[in-house]
Amino acid sequence: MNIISRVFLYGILILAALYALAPMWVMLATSLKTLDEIRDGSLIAAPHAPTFAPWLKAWGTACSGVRCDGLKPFFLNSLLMTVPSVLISTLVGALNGYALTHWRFRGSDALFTLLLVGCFIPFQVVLLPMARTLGAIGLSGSMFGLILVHVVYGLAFTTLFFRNYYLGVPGELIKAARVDGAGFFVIFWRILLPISGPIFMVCIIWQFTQIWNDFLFGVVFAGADSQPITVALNNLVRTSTGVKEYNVDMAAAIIAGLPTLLVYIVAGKYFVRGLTAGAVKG
Amino acid sequence: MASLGIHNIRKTFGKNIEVLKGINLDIADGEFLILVGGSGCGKSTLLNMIAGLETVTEGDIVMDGKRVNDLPPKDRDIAMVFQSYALYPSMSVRDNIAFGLSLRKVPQVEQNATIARVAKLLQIEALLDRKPAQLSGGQRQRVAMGRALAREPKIFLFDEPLSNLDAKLRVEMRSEIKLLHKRLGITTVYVTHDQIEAMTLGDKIAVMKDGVVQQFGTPDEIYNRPVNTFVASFMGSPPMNLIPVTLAVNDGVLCAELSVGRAVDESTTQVARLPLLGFNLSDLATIPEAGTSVLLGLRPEHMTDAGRMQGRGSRLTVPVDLAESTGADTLLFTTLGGARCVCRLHPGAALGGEDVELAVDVAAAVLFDPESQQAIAFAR
Ligand SMILES: Nc1ncnc2c1ncn2[C@@H]1O[C@H](COP(=O)(O)OP(=O)(O)OP(=O)(O)O)[C@@H](O)[C@H]1O
Ligand SMILES: [Mg+2]
Repeated sequence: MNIISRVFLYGILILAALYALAPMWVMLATSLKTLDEIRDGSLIAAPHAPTFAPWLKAWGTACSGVRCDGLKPFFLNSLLMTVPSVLISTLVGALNGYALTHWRFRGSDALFTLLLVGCFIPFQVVLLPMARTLGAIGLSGSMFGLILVHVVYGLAFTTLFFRNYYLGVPGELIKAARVDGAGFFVIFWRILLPISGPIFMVCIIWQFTQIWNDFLFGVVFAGADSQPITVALNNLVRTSTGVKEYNVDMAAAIIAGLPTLLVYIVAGKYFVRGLTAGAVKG
Repeated sequence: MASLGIHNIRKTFGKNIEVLKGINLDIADGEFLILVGGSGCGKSTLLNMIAGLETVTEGDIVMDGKRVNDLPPKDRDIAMVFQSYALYPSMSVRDNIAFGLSLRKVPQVEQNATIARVAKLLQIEALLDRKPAQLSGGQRQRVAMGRALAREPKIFLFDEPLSNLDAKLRVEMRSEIKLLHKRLGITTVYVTHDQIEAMTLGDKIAVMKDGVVQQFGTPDEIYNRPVNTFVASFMGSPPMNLIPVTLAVNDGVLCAELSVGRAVDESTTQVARLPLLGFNLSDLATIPEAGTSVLLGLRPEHMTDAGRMQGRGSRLTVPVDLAESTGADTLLFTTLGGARCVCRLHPGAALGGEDVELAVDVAAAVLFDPESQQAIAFAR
């Protein structure tokens, strides 16, 4: 009986894992095949003679739109956009969360409610007002503008994360530091930051995934030379010169998704830990 | 060092949670004030307000004659031990103690000397390089103490600083605090639930209930002349007995008539008459007339076995409900006026279970009004 239920359980788990991993496998296998093999073989078969040519092409020479220098420049664009956006929105979110929990001021609850609403505003709604704002401050079509958009949109989430985390920090800790003579920033820097590791990881993973994978803001607000990799990927797949190069498309898609994967692998355990932090005392 | 004045202080949380309802306390430079009171009566809140960590809803906090309501904590020059210890989790014990010093730009050499001095005083030398998470409750509490004692502020604020220590360490620390206060003479406000700490450390004691100071006075006044039944039963362990009696006058002497023994057992219940010598009958303004019901307040040590009193005090023979030996004394439980009553007898007394003749030191008695619960007359 026990063995039967165990077999059943594992069977279901393995099925679910296969179901989730199958697309990944198809992508990887296809990206390592030649076009001929793709045409003749089965979708899920392993490549006979793996070739890295599609990867090299996707990275360096594939055409997206009129440019034919692969994903490389756009990958760099995405890095240049994502890293500062993630860092700024996380750091400011931490400060916000700290102020909202431990330096409460008149109207701080109302402000927090408004921020919370910010989490539920769909991208499409902010497009037009954001475009006008960027235009007004002269940042439309630039990398700075794009970073600003991501920081502003991400703040609602990072603030929420940090606020909930800092709610678990006892108020007397802050009071003790104030009696010791520490001010707003000293307390943040010396007392709170050193114990914020897990929630920083959560925020960084969350923001990195959101911003790296974003397509809509990128396609709307980026200029020709500041387009992120998601936009380039879309262009690359849709730019066809005769035959459709599925292997190159797959390689490009994997390249575009690799950094988020990497972030999860490196920081994933903190993610789970951070999400459950405070759930159990001690 | 500074004098401290708390004038008509009120504190309201949110719209209508009134926690402090007009507190008035004044202590001179170098005095040691004890705050006692039930859980949730507002002691920590008051301490936080003195420190500048909570806003003052109404009233004034005065240090050295200057109103400090709007002064931020760091400019008030206070050091505080928090009830929850509030140790900085990411810092070692050493850094916890040094944090305030380094923020105040104390030179490194001096910091090290201070840390060594405090660590020795509080017996935490071996723990200096540990993080708070690696300490026991009592060890954390001593570190919290050390953080405050590292400085010589104008005012010390201690929120139950010894509550988590074992009995022996607590006695040691208590005398260290006393010595330190003698030596430095720093004005101190000290919250405690411990009777002995309150009586031995304090120059003044304020007994609080529901955000109101019930009585503010010297330990002697609080102990011997409690203004109401709350103070009477809050201070002292076991607390003061409050015996329902009826007043009578016999041969020009005020007497208390009370039933002796358990009321449920009618056959053994009898009425006794206890002369209240020491109450001045001519003082008619405060002493109610004969026939009035009052509560007779008597501390356990003033109801002892006849042998101990050597002829002094009024005699009263009572049945024994229960006798407990504490080592130093025997606590005898009996029923007087229908109320449970504790008497402190010499060791070994009354353990047989037969009726005991008590010597009651009525010269230490207090009379309370059973309605208002306020004291109406003191024997001394
Ligand atoms: N920030 C707050 N908001 C609302 N009510 C509060 C707040 N802080 C304290 N209180 C309330 O004020 C009252 C007094 O709290 P306080 O901590 O001063 O009590 P205390 O006398 O120190 O009690 P204890 O002996 O248990 O430490 C309590 O009823 C508490 O619930
Ligand atoms: Mg308290």
